[in-house]
Amino acid sequence: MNIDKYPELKPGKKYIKRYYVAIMLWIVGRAIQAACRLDKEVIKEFSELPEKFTFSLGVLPDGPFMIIGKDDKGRAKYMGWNKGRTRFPLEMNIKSLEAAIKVFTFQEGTATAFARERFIVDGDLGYALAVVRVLNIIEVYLLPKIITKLAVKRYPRWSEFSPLRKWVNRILIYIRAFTF
Amino acid sequence: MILPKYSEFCGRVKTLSGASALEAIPGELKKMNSKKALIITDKGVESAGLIKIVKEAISKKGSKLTVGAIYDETPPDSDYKVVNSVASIYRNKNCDSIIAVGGGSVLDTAKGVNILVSLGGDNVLAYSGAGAVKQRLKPLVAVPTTAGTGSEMTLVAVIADHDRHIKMTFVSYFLLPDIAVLDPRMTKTLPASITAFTGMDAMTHAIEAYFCLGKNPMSDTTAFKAIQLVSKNILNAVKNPGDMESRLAMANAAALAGIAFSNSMVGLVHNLGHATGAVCHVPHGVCMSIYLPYGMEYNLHKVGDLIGELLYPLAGPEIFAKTPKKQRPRATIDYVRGLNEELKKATGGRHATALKDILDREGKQMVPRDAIPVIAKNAMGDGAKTYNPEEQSFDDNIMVIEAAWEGKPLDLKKIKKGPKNQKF
Amino acid sequence: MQKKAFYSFFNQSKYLAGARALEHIPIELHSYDAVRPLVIATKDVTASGFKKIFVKAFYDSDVTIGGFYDNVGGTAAISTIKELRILFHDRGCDSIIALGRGPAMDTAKGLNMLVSLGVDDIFTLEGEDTISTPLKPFFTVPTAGSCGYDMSNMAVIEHHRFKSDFLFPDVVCLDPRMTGIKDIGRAVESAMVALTHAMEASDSTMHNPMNDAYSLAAIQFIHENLPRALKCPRNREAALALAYANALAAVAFSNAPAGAAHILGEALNKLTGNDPGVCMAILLPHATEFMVGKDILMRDELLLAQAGMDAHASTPEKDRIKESENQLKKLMASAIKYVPANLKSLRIPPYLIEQAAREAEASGSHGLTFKDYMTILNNAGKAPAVR
Ligand SMILES: [Fe+2]
Repeated sequence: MNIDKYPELKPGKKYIKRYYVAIMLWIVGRAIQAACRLDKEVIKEFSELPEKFTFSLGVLPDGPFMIIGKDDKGRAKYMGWNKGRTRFPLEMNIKSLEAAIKVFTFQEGTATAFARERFIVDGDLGYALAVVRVLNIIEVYLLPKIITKLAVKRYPRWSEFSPLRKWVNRILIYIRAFTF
Repeated sequence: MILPKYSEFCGRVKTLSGASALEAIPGELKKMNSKKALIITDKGVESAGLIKIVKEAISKKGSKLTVGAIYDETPPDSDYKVVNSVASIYRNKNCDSIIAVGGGSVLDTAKGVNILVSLGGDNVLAYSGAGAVKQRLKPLVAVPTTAGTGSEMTLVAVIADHDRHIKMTFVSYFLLPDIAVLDPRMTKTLPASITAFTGMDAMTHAIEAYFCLGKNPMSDTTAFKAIQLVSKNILNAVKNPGDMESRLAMANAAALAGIAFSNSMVGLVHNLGHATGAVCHVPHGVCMSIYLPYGMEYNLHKVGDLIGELLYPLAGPEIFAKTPKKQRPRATIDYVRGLNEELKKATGGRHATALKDILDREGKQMVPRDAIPVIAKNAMGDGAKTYNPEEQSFDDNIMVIEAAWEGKPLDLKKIKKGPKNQKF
Repeated sequence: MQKKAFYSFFNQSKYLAGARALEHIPIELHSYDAVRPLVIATKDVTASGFKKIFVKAFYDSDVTIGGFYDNVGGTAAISTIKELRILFHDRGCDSIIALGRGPAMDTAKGLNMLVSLGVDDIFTLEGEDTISTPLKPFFTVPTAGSCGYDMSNMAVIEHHRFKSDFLFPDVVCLDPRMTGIKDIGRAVESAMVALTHAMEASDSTMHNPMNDAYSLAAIQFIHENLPRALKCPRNREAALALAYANALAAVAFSNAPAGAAHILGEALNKLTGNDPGVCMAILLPHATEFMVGKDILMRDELLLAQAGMDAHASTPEKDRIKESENQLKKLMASAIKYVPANLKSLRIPPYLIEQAAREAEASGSHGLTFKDYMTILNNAGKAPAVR
């Protein structure tokens, strides 16, 4: 057998999908930061997390990631995408880029993605659930109802009953997520 | 059969089952080149005379297996210091495999010890987290002494750090025991009330596995079998504790349900059950049997069809055929409530069917009414809710716990219902 | 449940089934600390475009494919296995992935014994339970059509048989992009092997609840999805379900003694070269009928798997076994285009039929005799051509 006929195959890269996920993570990260200054529930969730808590959400094996931490005032702070070799108290990772695409094109909501074992959670599960709740709220703000409805188990009533809260916050979150 | 868009399944544990399953341990360990086993257990198991049975069974004629040491001081809440010290016993006695005889804590301790003795080091906490263990460990045999938890089939170990008041989780497929031994002699002397609620724990694993979000074809068939076996055998095992056939069937059911739920995960019943256990120290199985009907009622609008199918393994084909399709979901829930009532009768009232009726050894109420908000809050941080079909908010939890406290069925109109678009 | 009887059951494999399952392989390899698999594939894989999809699934991962050998022919050959050892070591591989049809799986299993156990001649390991240490991580990615052994704890290499729990794949990856049906005839044949294995593994004397969970799931999958695949071979969901059924039936088969239809089917395949799936499909209804007569095969519960809860519950208990046989015949009839109804149409000379019965008796199942096997063969021989 001529073994040169069967060369080694180094993994290539899917640039477009990678950038897409990176951008989505950036948006979500900035939106969490913004929502943590506006939305009562998000503020409450973060206030209950331990001091100096940080977590990362990303794609295995090497990104993209987003890192969120609590600042001195106990609010969420988007801390960038570069994880390096740092370990965080909570790491939520999606098993592959393609699985991440499913999640970030909203074909699979967080609950479905968990049920389909797309995620690996390393750290305290209680904190992970708080993060999932925050992500669900962010989804309600960022996306039209028709998409979010497919992704969450139950569309929150508050956003239906108080359009003011939803729309004011929604606009503010958009502005703050996209401006520096 | 529902084939989800994507699912995973793994039941990588060798099962030995039968009236003399224990006797097969030496042969199996020999296949894995093991000659000297460390037995890990606790005082309760030891004083029930079970270790004597195990020791006799594994040293029958022809067996080349010796027992290096017996550690019988496993605390009810596995502790990393205990793990570290048992590991040194294993090393000092030159053991090459572990036999864990007991319940969840014993097995968790054994898993921890196995990590240390296989991978080296003197503190097990260094290996905590998801996927930190990446190699085959030493042979581990699990001999469950209750028929319910199904922990012999799970890949998780929870080991506490009592100084820091935290529980560390270890997750890896390499933590699955190599062998699970289902021998009716191990459960023969279980008191009736424990048989009842541990059996209902297995039932809950199977039922939740069947309708929660992680369901998949193999979790379905294992759950289905488990429900059939529990339903057919639980009353008999409670009423005639010495009936070895029922005992063996229950042990099988628990193992099957263990496979089902560790692959499909569980929902509201376990979510609230874990919280109630954590806040009020109620035994796990007691919470399970009480919350089980509520878990079904709460999700009825989303997965009613699946709940209706469960009438088949629960009540048998005749009753299933006689019940019109539309009434089956309700009939399933009523059947489970009925089973709980019968277990209550058979245990002389000790099998509680409402939270307010749970009493401790001194006859004191274990779940006071004012604990409800604390339980509801605690449940928000428990992972099982992720896999429950319907969303669970704090207010939802209060509503369910209050009903379960009183022992009254849920008012279906009060449930906040998401759309019925359940995808798997 | 079987009264008091002892049983043991084991299945090593983890299943990844469904959309983007291939992309989960790197993370699974990771859990074994493996980063350089050697991929072994059957010849058809590159031509059908599977290779491209497979390689792309590893993009953005940290896994380098040490080599992609796509030249396995119709059977596993020891000469290939020995050459692959060189490739495996040359590239510093740490794991094996078999992709495609059965011969790739057998080749991979042979290679794994060679590289993990440090032996020079794997034939010294022939037989049962000769391995006592775990092998290197071994994953399989089956394409449509299985021989029934590929996902079991057995390997067949140049007529040598190996059986050990260490030969089970660690991970079976069922991705709809790989399991799509290209040749419906092949797919029917392998479904028939799976059905035979599953039915015979759940017979009334040996069954246990663990194995039942696998065999009954396989039977249910086949009964629900073979007709769908026949109607529309491009139905990806049906194809995936059939591939899943193959995998589950292989486990049931690994944990139970072989049944009469399997043994006779194998013997006829060896003697005449007819496809084992075709032979087993012809024989299964007759073997079943014979065993029912002996009170060995067919249990009430089979009908549940075949026809579902409503049909099972509404059939009176005493008629269920009969109805179960009918369901089987109905399924066979739906596939009549690909599996003939009787042995006569295979034109097997009588002396080979007798030879097959003799060989079956020698391998032994339920203590059936030469005469018993001949009865089954004769019934299958003269069955009407139309079902
Ligand atoms: Fe439980």
